Amino acid sequence: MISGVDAYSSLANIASTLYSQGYRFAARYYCSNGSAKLMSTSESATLASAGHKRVVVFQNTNNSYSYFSSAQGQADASYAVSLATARGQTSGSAIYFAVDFDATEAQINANIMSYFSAVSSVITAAGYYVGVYGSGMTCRKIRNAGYASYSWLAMSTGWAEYSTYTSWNIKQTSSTTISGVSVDKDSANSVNSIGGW
Amino acid sequence: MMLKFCKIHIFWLLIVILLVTGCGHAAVENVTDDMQESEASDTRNSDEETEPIGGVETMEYYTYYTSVLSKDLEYRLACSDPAAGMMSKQLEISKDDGESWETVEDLSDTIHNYPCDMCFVTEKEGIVLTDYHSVREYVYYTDDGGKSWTGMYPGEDDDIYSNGVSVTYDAEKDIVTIRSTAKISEDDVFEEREYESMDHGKTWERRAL
Repeated sequence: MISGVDAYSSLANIASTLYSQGYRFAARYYCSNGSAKLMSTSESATLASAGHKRVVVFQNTNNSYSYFSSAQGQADASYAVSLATARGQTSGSAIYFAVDFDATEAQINANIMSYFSAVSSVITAAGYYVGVYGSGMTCRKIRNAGYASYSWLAMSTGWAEYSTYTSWNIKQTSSTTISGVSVDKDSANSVNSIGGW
Repeated sequence: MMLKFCKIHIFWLLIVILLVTGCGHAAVENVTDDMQESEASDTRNSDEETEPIGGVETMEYYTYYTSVLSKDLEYRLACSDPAAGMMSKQLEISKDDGESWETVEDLSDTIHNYPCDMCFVTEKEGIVLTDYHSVREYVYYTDDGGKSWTGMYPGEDDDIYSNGVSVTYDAEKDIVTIRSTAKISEDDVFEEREYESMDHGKTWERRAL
């Protein structure tokens, strides 16, 4: 089992500290409406130099049902590919997409599935794999539908199927602060099973 | 005489054009400000342009939850977009009718989950309501003007979690009311709830709907 972190602010200044404390991957953001949480090209390079596998997740708001649609999926995926290209993200790695709320089964089956169908078309054509971040039920249904190859279980224990979904590639576990930076801790089976680069 | 008349009219026409252009510009700025002000209660604003990334302009987005006590005292909670459970949350105060704002406290690590509403009852006492992400407490109370906060869970012991919906203060009755949605079963069963506080948010009692 290996450890990693995810954070909404830059990890560039603590990249070496994280590595020395045993963290082996760092998850950061792609987004089209916020630079604060966006992983810059230089931060990406700094994380790699420090020895981290980089994991990226696309999230604007993505925290209510109204966000999700086929058109939004296409737009988000296209933008994610442009960011990945600009950062030299390795072909064959993954871009995760967040479903940051406790979606009901009906919601997943409707617009969220449409969103990931569109995401999958764009991301796959660009040479990347799709990942999904969310509840156990969201991860299970999107993966079973064939729209994602990787899944990242959110640490919200009250969300659907948190305890029964065990096929995750990354599991978010708890929040903490490291050298003044707020992070969430994550775990995974190995650095090669998370779609990192 | 006709020429002089025309010159006067052309002069005033130019003055009018200049005034209209100038006022128009000012008006647009004011409209923008007014729009941001009117949206400030619970909508998304973009207030900071940043460098183009990948040839595309990106902006910094914040959602503001504002509580106006008087023209001389307003609070607002500036929240960044969510990020897999994390979010920047800055509490700010204005004492000049919203013209300028100063930070009271960075609440990013103090108030968990995602804020969905805020209400200050007095200068010192306020409530922030949140949507569940990982921490069960979804109501946060301050009695020192936002510097420190206490999380609490108005609800039943066997609820899985609750999401906040709204918090309102009835000044005439001196009652604070929150509406929430409790998840009561794994099978996507949710229940609408309402709680009242007679002590400005320190304690809560469930009210029948």
